[in-house]
Amino acid sequence: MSDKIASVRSLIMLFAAIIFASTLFDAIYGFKNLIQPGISLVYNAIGTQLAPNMVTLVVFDWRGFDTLGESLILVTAVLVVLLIFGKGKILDKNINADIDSVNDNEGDDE
Amino acid sequence: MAEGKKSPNWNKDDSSPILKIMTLPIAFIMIALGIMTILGGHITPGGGFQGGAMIAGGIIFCVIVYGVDDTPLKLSHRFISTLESLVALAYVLLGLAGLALTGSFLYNIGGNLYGAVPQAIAAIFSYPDVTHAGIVPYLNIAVGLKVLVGLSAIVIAFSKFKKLAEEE
Repeated sequence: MSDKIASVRSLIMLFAAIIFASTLFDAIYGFKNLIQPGISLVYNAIGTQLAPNMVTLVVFDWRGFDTLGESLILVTAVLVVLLIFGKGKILDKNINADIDSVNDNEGDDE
Repeated sequence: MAEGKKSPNWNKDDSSPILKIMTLPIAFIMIALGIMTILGGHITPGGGFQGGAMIAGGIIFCVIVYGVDDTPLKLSHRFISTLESLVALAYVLLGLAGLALTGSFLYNIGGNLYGAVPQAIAAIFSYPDVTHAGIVPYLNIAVGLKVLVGLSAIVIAFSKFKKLAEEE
């Protein structure tokens, strides 16, 4: 049973890797056409029509997608801290009790 | 020390009374400064990340001085997870609104620099201000809340780990 799950999982991993790799290589191949030289000059000229502070405009308007990933890094850091050091100990006692009972039930089934 | 004089009752594990009196006002000042930094993100240097870190500094100060259980600015587990998820969702939804209306993710709908959105829709997302910053202040607020919750969650987690290690 576990072998079957592992093989299905590696198949899914394979497809995900293929999709990711092909997208990445396609992006690298077609990147030449996406580059617009001087876009920074254009943005510097028109950006201050939005708000006076250019730094925040670059961070949140022009590169808003980057900022989304940047703030998700912090979430990942918290998750890794809880995962490595906590191992589920940090939860409230009530939630912990639920998890303990679930774990006990699973243990009974096996 | 003389035999008759008694030092005040003071648990060695507690922090000093001076710190206990001074920390809460200082933390409030730090939090107020952080809120100011977040709300003025589009007109002054700084922004969501910096302001959120300042607010988290106030909360972390309280956690360190008063202890994680007795801190007056207590963030519960449920509050942290709910705020983190809601704010991340708000950021992504603002981006998706731009994607739906103009075809580019995180297009500044309120600012409407390229005139890709009708004026009626742009007025909804526009920040009520003398500037035409659009959705930038909303993204500032979202990132600020996210950073505040994330940074304080790490410190709260570490202080609870210390307590658990002492119990074991």
